[in-house]
Amino acid sequence: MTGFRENQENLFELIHRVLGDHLPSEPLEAVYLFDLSSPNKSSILERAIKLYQQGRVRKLVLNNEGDLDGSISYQQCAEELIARGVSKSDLLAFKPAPEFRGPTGRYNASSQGEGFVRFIKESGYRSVGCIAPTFHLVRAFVAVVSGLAHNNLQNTVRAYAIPGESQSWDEEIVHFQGAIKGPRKNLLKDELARLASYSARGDQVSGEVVLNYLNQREGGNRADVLR
Amino acid sequence: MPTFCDDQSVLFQLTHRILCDSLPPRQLEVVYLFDETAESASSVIDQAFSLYKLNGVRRIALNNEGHPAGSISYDKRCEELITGGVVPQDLVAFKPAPEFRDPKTGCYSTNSEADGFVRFIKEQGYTLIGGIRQPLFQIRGFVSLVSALFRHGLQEMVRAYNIPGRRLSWIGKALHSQGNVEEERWQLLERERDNIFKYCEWGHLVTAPEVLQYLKWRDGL
Repeated sequence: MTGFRENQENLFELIHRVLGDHLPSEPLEAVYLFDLSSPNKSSILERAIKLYQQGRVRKLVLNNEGDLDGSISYQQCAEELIARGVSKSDLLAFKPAPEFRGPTGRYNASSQGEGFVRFIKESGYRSVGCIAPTFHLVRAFVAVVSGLAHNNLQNTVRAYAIPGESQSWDEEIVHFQGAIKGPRKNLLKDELARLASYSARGDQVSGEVVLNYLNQREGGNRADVLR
Repeated sequence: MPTFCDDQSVLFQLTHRILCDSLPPRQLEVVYLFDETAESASSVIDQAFSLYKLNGVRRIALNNEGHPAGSISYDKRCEELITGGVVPQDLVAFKPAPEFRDPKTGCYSTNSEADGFVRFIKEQGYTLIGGIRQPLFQIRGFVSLVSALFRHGLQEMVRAYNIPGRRLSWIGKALHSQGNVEEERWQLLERERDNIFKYCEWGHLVTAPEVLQYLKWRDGL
């Protein structure tokens, strides 16, 4: 399977497994905060702070290019996290990968996923997570798993998907490097289209690969039970 | 014969909207704890506690019919909820509808639970409600609830919300189909999807576009 539109069963399973991912009992070593653009920022920061305060994650990771529309800088987010009790030494940063950038030259989910994976490879982390807004989480997680596959880490790093705090589906937001504006619910169609096209051109792995990864991560062997 | 969904993008939208439903700022009048077998019951009970303690809901509804397939009894669930801090007067009960039962065992299904709950809220006059199910069965739970609202002509009177139960391991074992099937949770997802399509073809469930249309009404000003 190469795309996301070919198999409805895989899609149904993938959405459940990603949106309802089950975190391990041990704290994650590092969690990346995806997509801190203004309409989504509070959802991501609240979830990150909650996990940090509960001792479920040790380090919070930002990318130091700021958000996609340039309205929120790395510095602003770092200051907010520190003001809310995150220790400065527990905040880390990386640069999104130069590949996979959109037509505007700004980074996208793939360049964030790839940059995060290169960063964890250098740091030696083995148990990581990514937080993204609920409408964007599937693509964000697929980008991280794709980064693991590109860097041959799919058998050594356990990555988990973490949804941001729930937000109204009717709120008007801007997304895709400012290219699309509308209620959050309307962005879902584009998310699926992008999953399909990025997978088709090889930037991201397929749904089947992600499902195999999840089973392998949990210690199972999906190959034994595949139809 | 209706098809639940023939468009991937509609399925993608619907699953996101249900699994990550956004609750209203007002307190819900009542939420129903769908019956779960013993290994998954803590998922819904823990979530009900959280919601109740945060004043997100006024009352908790259970069905008071014993389930023959390994679920926790009504009395035991009440006891657990009261021990955890739920005021006894805030626990309410109803019987699952006689329809949609397993023809062989007579055991109730998700559809008979949802229909019984909707009859109950209709009698009580509640218009702001929710359903809590473990992650594996949430889509069918919520679609069953919305289908029951349609059947009883309440689809433009009652606002229903999906509340995900506490997350459970996808490789943990779970019982399914009135306790007749035990597999790892992730292995049950394909069967779960097939059941949704099958029950829709039988006319027991509304279609995915109808659920999205309902959500549009529900979230409209």
